[in-house]
Amino acid sequence: MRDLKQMIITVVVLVVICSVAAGTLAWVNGLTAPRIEEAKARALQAALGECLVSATDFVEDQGALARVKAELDGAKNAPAIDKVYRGTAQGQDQGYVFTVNTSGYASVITLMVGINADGQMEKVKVLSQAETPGLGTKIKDEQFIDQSAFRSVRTGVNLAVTKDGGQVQAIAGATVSSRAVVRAINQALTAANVLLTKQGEGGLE
Amino acid sequence: MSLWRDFKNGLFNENPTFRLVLGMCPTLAVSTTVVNGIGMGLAATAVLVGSNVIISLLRNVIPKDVRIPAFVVIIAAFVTIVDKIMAAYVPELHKVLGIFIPLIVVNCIILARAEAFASKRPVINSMMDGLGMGLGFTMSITFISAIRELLGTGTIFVAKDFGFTGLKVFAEELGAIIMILPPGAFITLGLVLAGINWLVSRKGAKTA
Repeated sequence: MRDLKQMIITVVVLVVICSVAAGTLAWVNGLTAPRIEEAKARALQAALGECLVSATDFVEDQGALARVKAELDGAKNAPAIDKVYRGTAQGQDQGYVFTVNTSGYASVITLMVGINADGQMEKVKVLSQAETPGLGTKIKDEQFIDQSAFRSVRTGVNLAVTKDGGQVQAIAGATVSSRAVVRAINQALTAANVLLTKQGEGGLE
Repeated sequence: MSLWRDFKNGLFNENPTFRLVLGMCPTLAVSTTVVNGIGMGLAATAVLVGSNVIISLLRNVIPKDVRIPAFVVIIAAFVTIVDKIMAAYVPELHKVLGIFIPLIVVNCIILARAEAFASKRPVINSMMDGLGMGLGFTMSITFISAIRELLGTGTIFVAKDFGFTGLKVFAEELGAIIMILPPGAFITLGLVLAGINWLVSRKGAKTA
């Protein structure tokens, strides 16, 4: 009898602990989920604003993404355009911001590239990466990501690192990561070219 | 004075990293820069104090046979709550420390202290033990991080997310990249452990 009683107590206590833990988690989740969403949305808007300074409002443009996907061939190792945001200010189109996933040395690097309505790239920003600490992680450093070769580039130009005959100063010891960033920028420029010229044609109709 | 002893125990005599050799997973993985080390240490300390207090409160309720699953549920719930609350109320800090928080669950220091200390002692003592062990862990991981960051990059205290450019000790080109890669973690930890064991055995021989 004692054993049975002990067993029931054990089961009941464990069930109670698990239920209380689950209940608390559900309560905390309900409390924090809206705030987490809000913080994420705010962070996204801030990042978009940084990449395309002239625009004040950004909307995700599914149609543009579909157009880009149709035009760009999805070569095996080509960086993938993940999302397209259309930036506007007072109803005027200011350009596009792309989020691009590109394969680095040790991880998938996610970048945000802002290209204005004139087809000029304004800024590239690293959203997430898990490259080799001390080497590939330097793609986040201003010295690399804000270099002049990136700032002046326009659609129709194909960037390359100096090792491949281009203008981009690669990070010493992290050429693979540097090339991945360059490939992603090229992809975004091509995508912007598709969107900006399509828009021009539309205007003529 | 036993509270002070419980606190000090984790710092020196039973330092979790160097004496108990617990929590090796975060110690090896996160000790690439001093700031990472401090961040991981403090986040683990917060969870350790919290889980020690709760487990100590429940020590007479939890039956012996299911104590480990009960501890695991409590610790996992606690870590998730800390993660959610940080993400909601201090998103900037969460962005920087976010990667460490899920790693705390695999930090066996927390389960070890729940089992060895908190489940047998009063709440206040358990809290002091959590604090001491947590700070002992922070101290150790920061020490290893300092060696790795300095030898690997030539700078120390670099924290771009907080706007510290760090102290430049020598040119980066002279740094040994291996020190910030995984092998550097094993080499550093091995040498530091050997050094501390040597010091302890020498001290032991003198007093004996």
